[in-house]
Amino acid sequence: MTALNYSQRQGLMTELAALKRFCLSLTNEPADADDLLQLTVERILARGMPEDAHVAKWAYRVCRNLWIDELRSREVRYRFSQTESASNDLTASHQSAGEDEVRLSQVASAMGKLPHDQRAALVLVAVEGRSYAEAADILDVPVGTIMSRIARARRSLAETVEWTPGDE
Amino acid sequence: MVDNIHDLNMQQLKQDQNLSAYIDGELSEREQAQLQQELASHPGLAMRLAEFQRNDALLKTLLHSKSDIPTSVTTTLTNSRNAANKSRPWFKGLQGGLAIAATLTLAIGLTWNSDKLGFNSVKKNGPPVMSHSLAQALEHNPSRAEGWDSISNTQKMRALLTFPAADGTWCREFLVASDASHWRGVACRHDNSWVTEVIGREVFLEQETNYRPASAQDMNKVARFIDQAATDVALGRDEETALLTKGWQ
Repeated sequence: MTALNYSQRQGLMTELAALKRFCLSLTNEPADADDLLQLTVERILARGMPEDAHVAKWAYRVCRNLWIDELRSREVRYRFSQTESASNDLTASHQSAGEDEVRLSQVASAMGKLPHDQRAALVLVAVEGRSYAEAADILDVPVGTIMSRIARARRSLAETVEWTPGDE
Repeated sequence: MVDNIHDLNMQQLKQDQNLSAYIDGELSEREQAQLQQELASHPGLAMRLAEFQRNDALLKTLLHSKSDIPTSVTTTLTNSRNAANKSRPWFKGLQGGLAIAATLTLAIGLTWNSDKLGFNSVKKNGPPVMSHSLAQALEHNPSRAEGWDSISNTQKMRALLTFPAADGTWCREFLVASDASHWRGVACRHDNSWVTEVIGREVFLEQETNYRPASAQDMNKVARFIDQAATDVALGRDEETALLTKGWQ
């Protein structure tokens, strides 16, 4: 394991926005996501990564492991599914009256109710465009589990967001 | 009764998994064709698919609106590069960058002579020579992690770092960019003049438009020069500012 080389640092810089979204998928709260992102970057800088490592995958894994550690340390593994009304900042900035805003708010609310492992899988695949195999690799679960988590997540969103026939 | 509900749920989940896999491009061609047939004949299924896709689009909008990076994070990364530069891994970092960049080292010992070369002398497709404006930039401009200083209508430069060489001179690593190419080099200050010690093509910065294969033999020459010439770590920002202010004394 070595310190990051130039291209790895550049790769990490390029990946920050996607990593931030992944953090958000885990924490469901922007302030926590920022903290997790900071911790992830610091951990990677402190411990380095193998020269042949895929920067994005490595960063996602470090991030996920840090989040699991955090949850363990708090002994509240699913705290965000229980506190969405108090801390769901995803919803906060989408409270204007337009239909799109309402639906954004509904999506945010539905995301807040999902278990974090479903959120993470959905964000990696549906937002970041990762394949099931890549998501499985990052989250360290079988591909079948990813498939199941994503389907359940989409199903939950569909139950919350109100679409009527003819909506675009 | 309970079994029937369970079966219905499982069936629904399987259907949702199938739709999800279709959206995510995870079905084989045969499976896709089969699902497309079902979609054509089952409006409810097609509506469900459309619903999933619209929710995905909303989710993307939502998360992309929350993707701002805290300044502290970018600062941590940027400072790490500077810190790494100060403790010699900057040399390793340079090597790593050059591994991708495939530096083609070309010229050694190009001395600036304003009378002979004039301003901004550049051979077409060749490495930049030490022009008056580049020398002035090396003389006065601080090192920076990003951004450029214009040195002519067609060229810009970025000083990267400053370090002391074994012979007592000060040396600076720098980039020079034009529309056509990027170059990375090291110049040292001898008798109040900047002399290019080594310079090579910096392909890493050109990669967005062009891919160039790496040359293992050439790519480390700039890095090797720095490793051999430097007697101490690169200067920090304050030290460099003091040196620039005092005219390199």
